[in-house]
Amino acid sequence: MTAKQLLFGVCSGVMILALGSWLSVQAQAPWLFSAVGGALVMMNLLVWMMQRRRPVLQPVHVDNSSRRVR
Amino acid sequence: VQLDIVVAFFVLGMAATLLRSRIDFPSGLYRSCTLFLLLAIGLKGGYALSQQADSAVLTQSIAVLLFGLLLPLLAFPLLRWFGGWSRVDAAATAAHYGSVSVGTYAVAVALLDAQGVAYEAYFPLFVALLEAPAIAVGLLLALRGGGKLEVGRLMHEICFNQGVLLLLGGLLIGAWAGDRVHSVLPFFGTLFHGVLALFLLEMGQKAAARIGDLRSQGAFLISFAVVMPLIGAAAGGALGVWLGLSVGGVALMAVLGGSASYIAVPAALAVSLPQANLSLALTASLAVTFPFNVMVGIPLYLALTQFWLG
Repeated sequence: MTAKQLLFGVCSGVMILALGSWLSVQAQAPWLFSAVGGALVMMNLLVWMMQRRRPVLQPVHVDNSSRRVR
Repeated sequence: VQLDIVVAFFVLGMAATLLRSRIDFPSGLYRSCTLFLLLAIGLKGGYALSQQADSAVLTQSIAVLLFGLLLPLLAFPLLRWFGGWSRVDAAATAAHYGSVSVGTYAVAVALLDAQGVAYEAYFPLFVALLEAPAIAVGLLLALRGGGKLEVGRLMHEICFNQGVLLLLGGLLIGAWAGDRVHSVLPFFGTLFHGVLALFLLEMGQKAAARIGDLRSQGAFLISFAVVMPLIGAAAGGALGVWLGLSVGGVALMAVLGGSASYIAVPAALAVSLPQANLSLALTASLAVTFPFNVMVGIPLYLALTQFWLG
């Protein structure tokens, strides 16, 4: 997940959560709508954290060319 | 706003698949339900057109066509800039979200009818008009980077695919027949909700079957599939207000703006853009956007329209 994708997911989730909560208080929308916003935020953050924790395996290159034998 | 009873059948279909208790729904019956719904919607719209055809409908139709060209242009930069998708995949998905879903429209009409909310009865004309422009825009966006297009085959697929043909055919028959439509309306009118319930039962199964694909497609796809319908619905609602539609009409325009195609566009793009990964768009529209619209979106669009205009 890239930073831009995280930004999109979290920002849109927060906006839906805020708008949904306000509309629910006004009795104009079901709570399910704000729950969708909250779920989006949680999902994006969870996926981002899981990908950060996962070790990235890269080929190890050992440079012996500068090693001197004493 | 309460959910319509037909939505319960969608939930039942989803639950059946998630519980691994597959309902054996004959594929021929599903195709028959689709055919019935398209013809019924077209006939009702055509009959309404025969009763109130005037120059305002023509102006509205032109505006709706332009709206169909605009929607993929809203989705495309989101997919390219935030998602980092390739030009072809972004254009293909944008085309899906620029087009409309007749199933979503049918659920919205059922809800409006159940709640007694009036709307412009010639709306099926707009549904038919919104099917094709997004496909053309999606292809232009995809092929700007270079590529070959079989224009003849594509035009045939856009203009004469089953959905457009049956919807427009029903419209023309309804408009031509006028009051004679009443001889077939007992069949197409009375059975509409029952057939829609059967259609949604199978759609629930299809949506649940695609949920597994979401794991591999990532969080961005799910976020986009929830956010884009809201953007499209806001644009559609604004267009409805600008066109001076009734409360039900504005809500329906929001539904059309917020829905995503899962039948006509994949069929057309499979022909004209074979290099695109269509499973991305199909998973998003079928497994996320359709359930979101049916369970959350449609009641929300109607409630907000009534809140601001009612």
